[in-house]
Amino acid sequence: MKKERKVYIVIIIILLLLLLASLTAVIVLNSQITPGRTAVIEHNTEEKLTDNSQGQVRIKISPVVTVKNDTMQNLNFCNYNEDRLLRCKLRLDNHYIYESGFVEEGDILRGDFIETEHLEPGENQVLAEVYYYTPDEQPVGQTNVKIVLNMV
Amino acid sequence: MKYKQCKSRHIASVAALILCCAIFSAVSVYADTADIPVYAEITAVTADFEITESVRMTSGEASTDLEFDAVTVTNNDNYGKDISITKIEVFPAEGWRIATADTDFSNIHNQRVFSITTAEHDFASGPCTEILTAGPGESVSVPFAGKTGTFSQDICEQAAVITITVDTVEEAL
Repeated sequence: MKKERKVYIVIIIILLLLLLASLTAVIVLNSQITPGRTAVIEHNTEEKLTDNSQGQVRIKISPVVTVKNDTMQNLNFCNYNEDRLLRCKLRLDNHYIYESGFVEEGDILRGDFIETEHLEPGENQVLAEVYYYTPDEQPVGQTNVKIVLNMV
Repeated sequence: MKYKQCKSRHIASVAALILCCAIFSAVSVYADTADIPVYAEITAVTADFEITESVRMTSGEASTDLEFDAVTVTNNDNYGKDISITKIEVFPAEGWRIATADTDFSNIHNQRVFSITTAEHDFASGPCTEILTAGPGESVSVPFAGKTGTFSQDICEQAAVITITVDTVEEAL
């Protein structure tokens, strides 16, 4: 009888530990949302990269982006620049609703999750703030592009 | 009878353990995949342009005139539509200040103050919102002019951030 009780206590402890591990896994995995972690990135090897020694930076982005299920479907934010890292932040009035990680040369950020709390169904005018950096992440400049988020 | 009871309890315990493992796996998989966007490629036009990434501003020795690189925006055309510069903002860097264009800089020495204008617009009064448009394959330039005081030693640092806002939306919709 005593042995049986011991077995049950061990089983209960194991179950509790598993439950604790599950909860920890959920919390840890969901708290690691760093900018760009969820981005759909594609590498384009065919596109010629812009030589930044001429002082020009190339920016390519969709002017009208479809948002469905809290996800931008076609941002198509491209970095076709040599020796530059690009980042994109989307601002709706005074709210930043999206921030990408660094998009490396030759990469295209196709889509990503976006905060839709402040978006209305239909067209929303937002400002895409495009930041460019040297490969060692030193800021070089910023250009803003007006785009539309079309929430369906 | 005692053996049967004991066996059924053991089976129940093992079943509970397996169930718990299954829940753990399911929760872990959910937590891991919950951050993957559901993504469907939609073919769309993209705005494609090149823009001057930084503007040099220099002044000669004993001169109050500032020389700026122009900002050039080139519409790369595979978008096939016009793009417009709709706003130009100048933000002074920390420690610097923008003065009005009519300031007498001949009396200003060793102060981080400058004026900046484009066409008729004085940035001391705020951003420029005059619209400039570049058609497909065309370039548009924004020239700047300005003044600063004299310095007793060379200054080589960032004095301002110039931010250009480009609009592609009107044409895209």
